[in-house]
Amino acid sequence: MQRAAVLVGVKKTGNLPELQAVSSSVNAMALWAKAQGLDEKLIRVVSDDEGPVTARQLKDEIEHLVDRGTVDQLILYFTGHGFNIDSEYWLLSGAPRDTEEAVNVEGSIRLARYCGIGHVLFVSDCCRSAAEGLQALQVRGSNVFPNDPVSGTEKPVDLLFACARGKPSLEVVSDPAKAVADAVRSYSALYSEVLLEYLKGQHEDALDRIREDGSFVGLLRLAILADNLKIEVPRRLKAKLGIDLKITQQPDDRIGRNTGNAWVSRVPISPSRIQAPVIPVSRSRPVTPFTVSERLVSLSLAGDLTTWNEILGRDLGAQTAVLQSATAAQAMPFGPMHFETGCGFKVRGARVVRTVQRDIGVELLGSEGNVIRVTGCADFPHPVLNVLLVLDNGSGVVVPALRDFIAGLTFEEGQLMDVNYEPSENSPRWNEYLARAEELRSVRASIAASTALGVFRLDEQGGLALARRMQFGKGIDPSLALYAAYAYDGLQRRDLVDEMRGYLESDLGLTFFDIALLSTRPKTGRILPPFPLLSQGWALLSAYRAELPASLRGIEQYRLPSPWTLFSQAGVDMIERAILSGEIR
Amino acid sequence: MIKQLMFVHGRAQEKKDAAALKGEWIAAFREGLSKSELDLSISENMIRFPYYGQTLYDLVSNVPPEKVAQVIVKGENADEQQRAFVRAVIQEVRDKAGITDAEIAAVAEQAVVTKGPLNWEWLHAVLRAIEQTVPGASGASIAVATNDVYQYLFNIGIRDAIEEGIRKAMQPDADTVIVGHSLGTVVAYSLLRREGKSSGWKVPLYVTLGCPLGVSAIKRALAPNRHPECVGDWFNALDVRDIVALYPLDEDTFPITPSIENKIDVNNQTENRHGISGYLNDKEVAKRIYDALI
Repeated sequence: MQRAAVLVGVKKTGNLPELQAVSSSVNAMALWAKAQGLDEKLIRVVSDDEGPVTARQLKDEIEHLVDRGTVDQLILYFTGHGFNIDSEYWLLSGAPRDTEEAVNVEGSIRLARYCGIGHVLFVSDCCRSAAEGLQALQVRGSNVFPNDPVSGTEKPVDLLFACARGKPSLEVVSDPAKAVADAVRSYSALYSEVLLEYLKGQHEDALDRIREDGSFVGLLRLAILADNLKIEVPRRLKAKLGIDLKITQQPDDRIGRNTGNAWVSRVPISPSRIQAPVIPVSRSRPVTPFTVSERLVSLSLAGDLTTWNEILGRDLGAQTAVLQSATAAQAMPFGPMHFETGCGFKVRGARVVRTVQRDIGVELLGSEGNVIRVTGCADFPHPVLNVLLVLDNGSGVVVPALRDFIAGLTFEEGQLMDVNYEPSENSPRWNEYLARAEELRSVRASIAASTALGVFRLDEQGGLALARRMQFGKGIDPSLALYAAYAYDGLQRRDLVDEMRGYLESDLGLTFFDIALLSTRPKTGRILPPFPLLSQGWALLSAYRAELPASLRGIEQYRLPSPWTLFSQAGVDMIERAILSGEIR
Repeated sequence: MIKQLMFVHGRAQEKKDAAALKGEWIAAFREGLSKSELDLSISENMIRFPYYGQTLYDLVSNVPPEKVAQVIVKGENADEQQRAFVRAVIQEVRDKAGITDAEIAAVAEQAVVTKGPLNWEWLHAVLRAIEQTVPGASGASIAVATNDVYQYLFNIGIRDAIEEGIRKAMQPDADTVIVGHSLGTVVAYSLLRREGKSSGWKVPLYVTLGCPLGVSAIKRALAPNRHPECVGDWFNALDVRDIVALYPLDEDTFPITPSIENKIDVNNQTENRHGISGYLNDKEVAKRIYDALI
């Protein structure tokens, strides 16, 4: 097996504080790679010890490895500053002043799948905190894998994150007791430090011992590594700093169905160690938002609403309380359940002051700005049309109006947390929906709340269960289809996205932009709205070669931080002009 | 251990009788051996010749020969991936041949050049410029060969049809020396890498002649590439003027371990420097095959 590593370290970017443990981490990774027997030509270190690190450098290094056409496994490791604007960005030396001088991690992953390398593992030791300030929000990043038009089959790409979304990755004083006495503190990158211990085989219980040519070697398998990091990193942090509820670090990962068993490190085991019995360390899984999300999603998909409700009411600690309460709130229906016209919007947590649309009528009912009726649905040339809802703070959102459906929008603290479509009670779809309503709401709420908090994960089995559960009547639940599309893309099962797209097109006569984006089929047909509904789709536009209408080019700079796409006043103005000119319908 | 020899042919073998074609290959091989005063060391019935020419011929059988290149580069019935593949290979041939934009413009009948992605008229002009610039090169042959490779790589039905004959010809209890030519080198490599070890095949020597595996789009489609585990030595020979093979399979173009032995001084006498007879009648090529069979 030919293995390669691109090891990137950027200690200084923009006006962010200089990181102390970047050089040591990158150098330690390089030494490990060398000790693994990787060809030295295939170990590429790019660090700002040698001058500014640019996106071009990373692209060249990766392109060189891709062009060989012989690499079976590539580890792309980054340590430095990073942040999250709907998806991950690794900041290079020129960021954020140069908006391209960052790695667009999600976009790069999509291209990596088709680069011809057998297995690519992204290892991200940087913060995933929300980007703050207008300058940071403008960062778009670069896709660092080549955008080749032709390749072979899709290959697996996995990720190890040093921390959960929205959280920081930490550099910690190496020896707190000693630091008190010393004038100069030395820091270590907590995640990289623990990661390297596992890679070097220092945790024997994590190794899979196999016999090869008469001797034993230990293989560190990816899923085992990921599980161990989730447990060991928080434990190490606690050991170093004691219990501090404000300082936590919970590693995260995204590992595909076929690569959990892939090995990432290979360590010789001496004969004396073979004789010694390996005492398995008891490793009970800690309760985290990830584990609770997994459980809630899985129970809702299994239709076990009794246990699902019981978990929502259980005290599982402060970390998961937000997820539990958000899930419970999302599951509660709100507002009117029918409109005379069978089509409309209802809003909670925000106030709509006006709407912009063409070809249909829209009425704001009452004075609260939370019930919006769409009229003239029966005369729609198509069963769906875009409507711009403008809020009292000037921000706005485009939501497709679907005949026979009411779209429920949930806002919290100025962010659009969820959009769900339910059939209007007086529509022909209602009776079939009613029989499944409670179950579908629980699935939707579990997924919506987990997505908003960045902890939604679905394995292959869950993906297939979701595909079955979201069906009702002759079609599928439109809002679940949106969430599912991203989950399927994460599972590298775009065939399932294609399948959903087929259902939506035959039932509703439309494809949501996000689903068309993630589908393997041509981006043609009736696609609404003209950009991603979920914010995470924006980072994928270039990798999946999607374009916005001419009148909306550049609108991404007017997006606001929100799980669902939400625009500032300037963005609203652009959309309004596009709708009124007829470019968007 | 029984030893057998297998020839895996490339394109342009359609409408030929398989037995006659095998005879042509053997004759060329014999000619090469005679230069070392040698003759066949195994009986002809131990030389296997799986024939799949008609499978590929049928792909463009309804197109008049003079229109084949145009139809392929235009790609009317092709999807985007296929068009992109054809574009990428033709561009690489053009780059390797050192044909300039001015030379292409001279043969193109376009009064204007668009500033967007390459259009098929331009690609067609590239092929014509190659024909005019590279002795013996045929634009139609390049287009057809590219299309064949694409179909083999991405169309599972065609791949299976082509490979089935090779599978049947392999014998787990025999050492099989395999000699591939052109597309046949891609076919044999792909199959040996994928199924060789699990099927228990033993290939002490794999000989590739006029092999296009170093072409970027082809290499990428098969990546990650590696030395097939069932193969002992891999010997690659080419005439550097061969416009289909383009490159030797060396550290720059196909860096696998163990590396491939390259012979780049073949003087292929066939018109396009790619014909099989011009490779098999090379003294050293024939001798290498001979040595592996004794």
